[in-house]
Amino acid sequence: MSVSDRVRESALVYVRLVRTDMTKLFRYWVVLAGYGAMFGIALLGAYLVYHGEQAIRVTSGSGYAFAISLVLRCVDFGAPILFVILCILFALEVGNQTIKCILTRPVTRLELILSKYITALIMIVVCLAIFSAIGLGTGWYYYGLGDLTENEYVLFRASYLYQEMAIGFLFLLIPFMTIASLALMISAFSSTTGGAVIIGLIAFVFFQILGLIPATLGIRLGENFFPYATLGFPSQRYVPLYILDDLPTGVPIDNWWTWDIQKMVIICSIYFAIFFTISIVAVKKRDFVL
Amino acid sequence: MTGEVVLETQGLAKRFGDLQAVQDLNLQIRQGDVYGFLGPNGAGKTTSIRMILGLISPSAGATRIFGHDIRRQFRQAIRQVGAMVEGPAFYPYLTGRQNLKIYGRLSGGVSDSRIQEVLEMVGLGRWGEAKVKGYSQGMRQRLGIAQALLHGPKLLILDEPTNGLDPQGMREIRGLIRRVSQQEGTTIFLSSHLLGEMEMVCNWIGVMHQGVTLVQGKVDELLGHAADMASIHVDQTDRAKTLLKEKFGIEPQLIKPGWLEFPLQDRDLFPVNRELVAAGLSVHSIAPRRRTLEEYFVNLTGESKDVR
Repeated sequence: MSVSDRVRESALVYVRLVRTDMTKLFRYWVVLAGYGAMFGIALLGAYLVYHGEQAIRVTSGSGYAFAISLVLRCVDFGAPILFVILCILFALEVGNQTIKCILTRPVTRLELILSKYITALIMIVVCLAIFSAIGLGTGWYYYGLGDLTENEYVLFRASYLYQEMAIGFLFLLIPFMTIASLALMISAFSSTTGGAVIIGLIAFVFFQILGLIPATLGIRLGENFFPYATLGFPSQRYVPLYILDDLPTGVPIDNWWTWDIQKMVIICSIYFAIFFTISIVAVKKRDFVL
Repeated sequence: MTGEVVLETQGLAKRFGDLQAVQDLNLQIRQGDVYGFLGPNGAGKTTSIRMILGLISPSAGATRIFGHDIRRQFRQAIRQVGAMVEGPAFYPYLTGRQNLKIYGRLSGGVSDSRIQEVLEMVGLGRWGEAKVKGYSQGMRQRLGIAQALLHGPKLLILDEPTNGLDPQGMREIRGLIRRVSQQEGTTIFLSSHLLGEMEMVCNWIGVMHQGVTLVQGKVDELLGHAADMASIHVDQTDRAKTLLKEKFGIEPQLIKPGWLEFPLQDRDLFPVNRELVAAGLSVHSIAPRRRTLEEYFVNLTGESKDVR
């Protein structure tokens, strides 16, 4: 078999694995409940953000700014839910013992774990798409989605705003990819979905606390890498959203490749490499004694 | 032994800490065989199957399926294999058909009509749209066999396939195994501790006990072609026992009330019958019979509560 045939066969295996993952996950009540919760959070958030703005007489002024503001808040609440959902990705197969049936088919362990990661990324994109859609939908309802203007002076054209928003959301995938790799690592070591969820929640709280320790004790980890030095889940991690958040105030984004973004990429890459390598080794070496 | 070697293990061994679960397992299964892998619970059968399929790594030894090493050439080795290891495994919140669709997709080339065909083969034709969480143990077992048959494998590995089935279900699965073997030419490797079941479907057996393969060979060769036992159904077993000892030097065993058995040893049963009747005993039946697999097995491994 030639190299290109092997590549084609492997690509086909990934497509099949991801497709079957989608079929089984989006029929699983835990996943549906998680996405339902995210949908609910976004809708409720939109209502609260709008009426909060009305109360203090400071408004987003545009549907676009409203969407950014909403996504920023939703991500804070949605990340833990998404993290827990991703934690069960591999554990679901071990818990149901379906791993035996998968690994006795022409599917290698490496293909299985990589396909789970691809599935995780798709689930992240779906989550962000839900938040964005609700943000833009409600933003349009409250303020409209036209050009951003001030005193009839056009600050930014709508096309420019959506282009920058798309770039920002692409960068936003980077911290989520790291979170997905941590979830996958937890999942790879778990034998039940319940265990994976509990360990995931413990890990989430642990990293939150770990992220608070340096600041609380006054330890300076270095201006450049704080708050990324620990894998916490504070909203400061989502740098691209903060950059986007400045746009409605009239600050244009001249360059996305800023030092803040670079710091985020470096730290997230290091964590990703560690978690992902451990996940692959764990799945490849594991004896499935079920 | 003329067929191509389909499955071969060489010195396969597995150690869990201090426990030597399997040692020096050497199997050679040829095309068309129905190989029964026997042993009491805890003998190491399932561990062996897991190693054969690459689910766990062996401490020593190698497995070749269709000439491909299971660890180095996994995809080529496993492509033509269908397996059910230690019970069926499914997504309980999906229907039987959806589960088979998922597994079929992973194997590739499994059509909807093939899914319906295997559902009907295992007697679940009307239950494909029901969720697996509502299935009985027997139905799950059948679905487990269906997923193993889905892609028309050339080697079928079934670990305790009749677990949880009622006698009618066992009979159906036995028929299915025979059909798959004879009509589709599939080589079948079965593990079980239900010796009666295995005797009825297998032409080869291997006996495993405490991680060691005690014996393997053709069923006919191991149990003998000819009858080597005699059984008598008589009304007064005590009198019959005394008579048989006095007249023929036979020491029969009481198998169950009214039934005696003794080794035949080329003995003619007509004089035995004549003596019993002449002594006024009512002989309901007297017949030679072949030793059962269970007797052969118990002889090899000793009595065990796990063997039925």
